Amino acid sequence: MPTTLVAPKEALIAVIGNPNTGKTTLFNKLTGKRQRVGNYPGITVEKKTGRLEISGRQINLVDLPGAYSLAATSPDERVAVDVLTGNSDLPTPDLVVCVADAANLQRNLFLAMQVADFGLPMVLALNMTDEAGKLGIEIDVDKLSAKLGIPVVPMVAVKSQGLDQLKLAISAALERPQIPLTVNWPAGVTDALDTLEAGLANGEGEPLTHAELRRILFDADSALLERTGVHKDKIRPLLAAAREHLFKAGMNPLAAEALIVYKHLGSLLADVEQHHDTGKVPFSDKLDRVLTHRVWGLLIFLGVMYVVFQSIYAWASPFMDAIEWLTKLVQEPVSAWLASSPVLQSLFADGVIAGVGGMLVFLPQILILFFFIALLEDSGYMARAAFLMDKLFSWCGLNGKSFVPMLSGFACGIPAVMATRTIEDRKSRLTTILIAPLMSCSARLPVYVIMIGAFIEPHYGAKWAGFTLFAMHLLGLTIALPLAWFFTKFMFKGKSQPFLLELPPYRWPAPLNVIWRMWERGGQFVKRAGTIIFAMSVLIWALCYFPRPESVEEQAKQEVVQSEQAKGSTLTAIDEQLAKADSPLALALEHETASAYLEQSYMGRAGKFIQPLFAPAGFDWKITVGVLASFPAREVIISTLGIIYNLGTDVDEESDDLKSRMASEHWTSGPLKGRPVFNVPIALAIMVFFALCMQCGATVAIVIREAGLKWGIFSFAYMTVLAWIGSVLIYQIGMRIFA
Amino acid sequence: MKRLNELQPGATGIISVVNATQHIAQQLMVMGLLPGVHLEVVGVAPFGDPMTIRVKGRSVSLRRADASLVELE
Repeated sequence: MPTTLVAPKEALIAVIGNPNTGKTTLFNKLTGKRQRVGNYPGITVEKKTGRLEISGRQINLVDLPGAYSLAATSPDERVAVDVLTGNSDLPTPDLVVCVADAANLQRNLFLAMQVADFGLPMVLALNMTDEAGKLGIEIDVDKLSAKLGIPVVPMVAVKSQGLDQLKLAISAALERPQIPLTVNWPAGVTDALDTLEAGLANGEGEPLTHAELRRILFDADSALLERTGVHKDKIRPLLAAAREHLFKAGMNPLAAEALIVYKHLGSLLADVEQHHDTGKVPFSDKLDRVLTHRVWGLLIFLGVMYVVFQSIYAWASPFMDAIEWLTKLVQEPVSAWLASSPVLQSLFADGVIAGVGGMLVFLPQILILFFFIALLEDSGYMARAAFLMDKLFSWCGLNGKSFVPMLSGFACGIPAVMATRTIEDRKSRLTTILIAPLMSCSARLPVYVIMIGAFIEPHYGAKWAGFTLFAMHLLGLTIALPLAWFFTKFMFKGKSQPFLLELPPYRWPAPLNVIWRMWERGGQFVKRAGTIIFAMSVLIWALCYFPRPESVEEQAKQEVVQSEQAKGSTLTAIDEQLAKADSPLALALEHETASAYLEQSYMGRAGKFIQPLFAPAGFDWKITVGVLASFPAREVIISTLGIIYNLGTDVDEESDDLKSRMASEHWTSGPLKGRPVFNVPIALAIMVFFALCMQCGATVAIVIREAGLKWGIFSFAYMTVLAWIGSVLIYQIGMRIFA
Repeated sequence: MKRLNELQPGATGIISVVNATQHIAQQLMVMGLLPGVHLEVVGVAPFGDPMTIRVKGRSVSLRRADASLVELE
């Protein structure tokens, strides 16, 4: 009979395991570059998939979020249950690879037993066997495999040891799947299940397997409750009745699963695992005595934070300068090339290139920040940081895990919001997302520098200037935590987030892992934030550019000519000057024209229209235009003010011209006519506005992506209101004190 | 009978029961805090909370409020 070669069908393998078991490293080694990060539909849990080929068979891998138990309390754990029961947008997995830490086998097998209950074929990847060996732990792999009923592959994933054996085991398991042996559930549990099953038989949901029923029985609020087809309120009495059987059998429903499964594992591992006392204290413990010490731990931690931030600024600076230089370099030829069409020329030079450049300029800082975060996470130090900082966060309903996002916010709000993924509790995560943008990101710095440089330092000296800078950075933080307390108490019904964190043993971070994570996160930033910043830059450009009647240019020219004539120049001399592109007169005309165009553009009109709203904060229409124009990106206010004050766009926060121009500005109309526009209270009001407002289209976009449209809008709205209140307060109080 | 939250750094003990009155108790048990298990208090964070304990060869940090659910022999 002729043999037909049929390509084995594509298989789906789910990878699951406790946190800190090297699961990510293993996943990366299996899939290499063929990875994709996306989202599960409808929820904000990251979906990581990859592909590999073993023996001619195409395999899809899905990396389930690390978890200690399937008892679904967090969206991550719910997703794991959904994927394993075939209830996600993925088909039911053909095989589960469970990654376990050989040095902590009993606890790791708890999750494996829960997964085993679902009856899916499984392979156990026994990782970190080298560390187990150093701790004196010896595991009889064959016995373990026999007792579990599945293949067990010892590995050291980070050194790629055991990788080929794992691939072979996977291939074999797909051909001849082995289903793990499960726990013998005592009578109390089986009785409870019968009650549940009978009670749900009349429901409209699909019939649930025993494993799924067990999850509903044991979990406080199982994800599977929705699948019963019975309303939650009707389920409660049924669950209570079922759990009565557990009570009658002398078991507490909350404790039942843990006690039963661990007892089973205890006897299973009795002759599989042996501990030899090495007599040495593990190095991790010795290190922890210092690093988690009440006093030394905290000091070292502050030191580490300082080094990280200094490095971010120091290393990023040359790159940022290079990108700015590159931006200008590209603008020139493009400008020349499009000289025939002023609209296109401005669109590309001022809109597109400036917009892209403005976004890229933050990339070095963000990459370096992600680099340090990956380094600290992989080494295990991040858990210690969360431990040390927990008290600071617990009083407002958060926990130490909010620390990394808040810290990241000092560099940039976008990675800060992205970093909230590590927070499992949905409400804590949302609260952290809402307050993270209050951290004084690096885009706010130019605004502080110019305002302080122009109005604080000249009058009050360097000491007060430094103090003001520090105070501005502190402002966001001092408002953020009480605000978190407020959100937790009144919006999220006050349930405080628990804190239970494993402090993994310290490990040398694998350089490739760190670089990979840095690159991946950086790419996400460019794709998500980049497109938004770009789009908004073009939009703002258009609002500042149009309408563009020629009459404006002609009038500006007339005014310049007239003022030169008044100084005594002849018409021919004036025309000569204007003909030369670089002459001071030509430049002055150019700047004045630009300013006039901006004034009558849509943006200028909007600024004048909205200005009354900002009058209590002391803003005139020019400042208002600056504020409006900087909604895509904060530092745009500086170049916008440059244009408005006839200095052109080539100003930055150090520009003396801009500073002196601002200092000499006076109100030309209205109740404050004749008085200077800028003074200390105004400068403070502007800084406070920028400190508290979410003037970053990209951050809004990321919040929408991570938390949903409703929260994105709320976040933008509340911060704008907060900023307005803050700047009005500062201005009004300031005027009483300083005027 | 002492509770875990009352112990100071350096103290050791064997768990007698974990009061399963709140969900956090379930998480504690899954982490390995079970009756009969030996633990050691390693340290305490700068402001007195949370605390770090060593159980089954691993370090775990938890808040004193939650630690009060763990009774020791």
